[in-house]
Amino acid sequence: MRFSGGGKYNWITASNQRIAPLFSWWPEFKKSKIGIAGLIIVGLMVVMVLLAPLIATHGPKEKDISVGWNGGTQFWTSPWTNEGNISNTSEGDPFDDKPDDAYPGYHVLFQSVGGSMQRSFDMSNPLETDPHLQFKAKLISFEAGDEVAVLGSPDNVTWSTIQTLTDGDDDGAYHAYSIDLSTIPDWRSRKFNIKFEADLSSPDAALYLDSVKVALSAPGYDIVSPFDGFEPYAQKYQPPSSQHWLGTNSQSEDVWSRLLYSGRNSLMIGFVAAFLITTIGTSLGMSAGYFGGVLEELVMRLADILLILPRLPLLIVLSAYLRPGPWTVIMLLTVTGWAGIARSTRAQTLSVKQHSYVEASRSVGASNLRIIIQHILPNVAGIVIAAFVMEVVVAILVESGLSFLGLGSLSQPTWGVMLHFAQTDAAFTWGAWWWIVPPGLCIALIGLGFAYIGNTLNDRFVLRLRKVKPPKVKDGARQAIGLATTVKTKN
Amino acid sequence: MEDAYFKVENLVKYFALKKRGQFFGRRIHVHAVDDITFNVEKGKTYGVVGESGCGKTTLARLIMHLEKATSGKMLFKGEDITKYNRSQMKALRLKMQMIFQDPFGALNPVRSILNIIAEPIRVHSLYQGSKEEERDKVREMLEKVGLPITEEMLQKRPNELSGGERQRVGIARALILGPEFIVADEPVSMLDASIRADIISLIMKLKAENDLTYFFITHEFGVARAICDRIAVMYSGKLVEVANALQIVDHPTHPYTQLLIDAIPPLIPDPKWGTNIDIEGEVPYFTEPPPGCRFHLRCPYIMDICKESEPILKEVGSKGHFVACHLR
Amino acid sequence: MPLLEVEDLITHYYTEAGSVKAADGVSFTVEKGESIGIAGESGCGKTTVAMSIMRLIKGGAVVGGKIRLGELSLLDMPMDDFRKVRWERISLISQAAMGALNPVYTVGAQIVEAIKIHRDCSNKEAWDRARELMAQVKMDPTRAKSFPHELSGGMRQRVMIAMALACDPDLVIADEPTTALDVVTQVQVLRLLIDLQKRLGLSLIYISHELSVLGQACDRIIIMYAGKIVEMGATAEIFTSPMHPYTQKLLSSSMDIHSEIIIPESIPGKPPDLLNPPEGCRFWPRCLVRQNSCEKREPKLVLAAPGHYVACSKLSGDSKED
Repeated sequence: MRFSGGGKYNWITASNQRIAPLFSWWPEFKKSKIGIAGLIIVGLMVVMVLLAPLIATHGPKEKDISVGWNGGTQFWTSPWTNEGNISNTSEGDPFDDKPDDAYPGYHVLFQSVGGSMQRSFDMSNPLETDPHLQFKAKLISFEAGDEVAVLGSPDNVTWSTIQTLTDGDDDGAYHAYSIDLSTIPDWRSRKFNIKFEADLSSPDAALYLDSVKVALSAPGYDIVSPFDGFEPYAQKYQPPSSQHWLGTNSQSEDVWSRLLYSGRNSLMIGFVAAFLITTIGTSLGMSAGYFGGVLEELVMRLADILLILPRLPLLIVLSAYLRPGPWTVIMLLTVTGWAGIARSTRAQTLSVKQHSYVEASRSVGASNLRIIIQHILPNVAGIVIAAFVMEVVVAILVESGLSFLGLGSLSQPTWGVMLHFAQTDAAFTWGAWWWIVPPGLCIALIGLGFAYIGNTLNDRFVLRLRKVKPPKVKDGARQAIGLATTVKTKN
Repeated sequence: MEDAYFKVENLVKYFALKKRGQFFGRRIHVHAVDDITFNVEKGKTYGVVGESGCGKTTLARLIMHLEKATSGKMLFKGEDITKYNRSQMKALRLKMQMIFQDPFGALNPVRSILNIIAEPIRVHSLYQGSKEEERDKVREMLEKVGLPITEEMLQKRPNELSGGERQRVGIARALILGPEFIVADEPVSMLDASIRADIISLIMKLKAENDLTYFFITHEFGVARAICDRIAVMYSGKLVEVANALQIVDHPTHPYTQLLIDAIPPLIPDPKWGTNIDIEGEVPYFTEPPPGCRFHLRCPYIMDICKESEPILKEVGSKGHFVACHLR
Repeated sequence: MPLLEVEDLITHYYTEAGSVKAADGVSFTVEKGESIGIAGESGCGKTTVAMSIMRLIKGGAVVGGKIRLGELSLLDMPMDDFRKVRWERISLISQAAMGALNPVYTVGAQIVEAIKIHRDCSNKEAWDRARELMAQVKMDPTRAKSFPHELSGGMRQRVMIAMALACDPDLVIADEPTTALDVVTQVQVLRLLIDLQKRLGLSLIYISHELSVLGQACDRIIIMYAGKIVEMGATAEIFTSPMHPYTQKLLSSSMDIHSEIIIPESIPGKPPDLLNPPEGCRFWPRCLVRQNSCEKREPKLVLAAPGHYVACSKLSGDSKED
């Protein structure tokens, strides 16, 4: 219809008001408290992750293996090789919780004739520590001649006697022993063997052995696993302390530092993916809207398909076929994400195309490209920028989801990857809230910040909603906003 | 007869009506412009008067190559421009420009007045690299159309101007390339009555100053009479009466022309005004035109022959006065 | 007793730059069965007056004055009571008629909706009334089931008129009802309005920027400029002896196809900025017969001839010492 409104009757703007062009959006934007809040949140987080090298306390992949060794998780089987009359027994239940043992041990019973028990330990740790053999032993009815020898050998060839248990130690109760192994030459062996050899001739002689450990650290850090190998640990699952502001994770890595470096990756992936999505989506949308015809049909149907398919499952399936890594994630996000913005850009293009100024440019002889860039794009820009901001949020969230499922870029960690490892390494069971909450909180915060900004941009610049506060009305005059209602007048 | 400056011969434009999702099958076509022939003399203003739906806007767009003609010929200074390609058209646009109807929609709201008026010279790369020369040219144009040439004015946006001012900017943009032929599509119909006179005077003044030829489209006879030398009345894609402006106003021959003139409210209150016009009745667009005269359904003088055969434009009465009606 | 009495209406719009004084002390009356025209350029406040009467001002407020409909004081009524007045006693045919129809409902349904909001009646009764109304506006009642996009501009406007008449109002305000229409359709709709007005005994306030249209439809005409009334009188008088310089200019810029003058005169200049209206006569900068005193003193609307009011210092003989 000819009557396109807005021109003749828009006399409020015929005064000295300027509707803010794109580059003077700031005065308009700063009127929105939510927008400013969003800007502050995002600003802080971006600064934080950018300053990572300066404010992180540790390197991104640094593991804190200061002192001590850890045996890792508990195993209930015994890798001791037994010979002779030695059996596992329960004097009481060997699996009882023994408050003074970090690991419940198992009882070994040497009886009568005797036998031997041997296993090897990896004592090759590079740190200077005192190797101690610790065990508890209860001797029963030992008589002269009954003897249990504790021997050690670095190579299963040359044996040195570490300790001898004789009837002199017999008093019917458990005794704790801690024997220094450093006197044995070459004790730093990967297969250091400890053998308990019993020679019991008395009919009732018995030795109960319990909680055999080799400690390789200063007192307080002990325990040995009942199987080969020590695992370097000191600081797994450590709660926040002055050394580690947000504690450590299962790999003894500092959570705070990891948070910052992961943040970089999260934001980078989010921004780059959003940028690509916006660029591709806008170009396709504008072209579809402007040129119409077959191009429009093709693009829109493709967009329809992408919008119908559920994004996360699709990403999961696709990522199974591709090499993991940040650029794979970005590419996947882009390919699945451009459809929404292409749609809205096309709709806006169609509406802009109706205006006479597009025709006017054509009648001047402007090329299609020129018209698209100079006329369509600026009038579409409001939508595009608001959409870009929201896309960043979506990209970060989708990437986090993908990484949480283990399909993201595990080598270049992001907050989602942190959560993934927190989950697979049983952070909940360990009660390591410092590992779970910060990355989750960061994802939520950055999402919130961008959502606030995007919302403000959308309200102010796309929908052009502006609140104009009415001035204070003088006494006796009628007060209204919208429909004129009344206030009792003085007359 | 001298070689016509701008000539249109048997111009036809059919629009295909697409049913939703219809890919195959015969499309039905709307006969927007159906076999139109006319000449425009150099230095004169040729007006086409008709209501919305008669096809006049389509005609304007065909001339400006914003639509492709279905068949027929257009000749500009003797050359056939109907099938011009893009680059030929671009060269031609230096000589032919258009003024648009909607003063608000014709200007891009996010650009400044300077950029809007300068766009044509940028598209044709006329003052390459010299921003100063560009600015000067824009200012020259602003002066020509009666707008202030201050820096403030150059930086304003369309929404800060009134309707009349916007239309002047549109005119400035049309003239900046120095064309000789201007197509004006209802340039004053969206303006207030009091502003129209302003713009009309401006258009006349510019015509004299720059030796322009106008093709002027309007739905108001009063405006047409003020500006045009020759007026053609269009109905349902066909021309029904063509004559000199004063001739046609004083002696409207075709019934539709009479209707249009009767419909203008006179300045003296007249209780009988409008009583002879039936409430029903609007300009139809045809997908299958009837065999007879297209106006016959509304015509008060209908005869049998009107339903059967279509009348042709014939010269009647004084010289140069053509009518397509079986009454003559 | 006049049907409608507007006294000293002042309406402001709130913008970020300040309050725009859209209507600044407008007073007039409408008698029963009378049709009044309000003429003026865009931005003069005529639509504002209409919206103030209907209490539909958005982004602003009526800050002063009184509007009386018979015994009722419209601006003092609480909203619930006013809703009974709106549409049942005063209705509006607005400018944006084309957009006022919802494209997803049939036109019949929309008329029925207007009826049912205000009258307690069954569906059948409402549809019967709707068809009756359509017949009154000379539309084929079988088209009640058409959608707006299937109708032409003129028909849509007639649907709007039918809706406005749904509750048998006493007063109809028509805000530029024919502006967007073609010449012939304009005549048709105008003729329809005039006939309806006479037949149903309605009072009509007709707003337009085209004086010639008002000349055919109205008994009295009010000329507004920059938020104020500058002249008011019987139609014939205004056309034959316009007194205010602005009215004269308006008349001379209307195109008369039969007159000798081919190109009408124009009025140079623009209306004043209503954010800060000037203190004196608002037409002063564009007036050709201005005096020095006009710049500072605002002229009052005074009776210059029987039934003919003008606001002009020169005409009312105001001199400096007054």
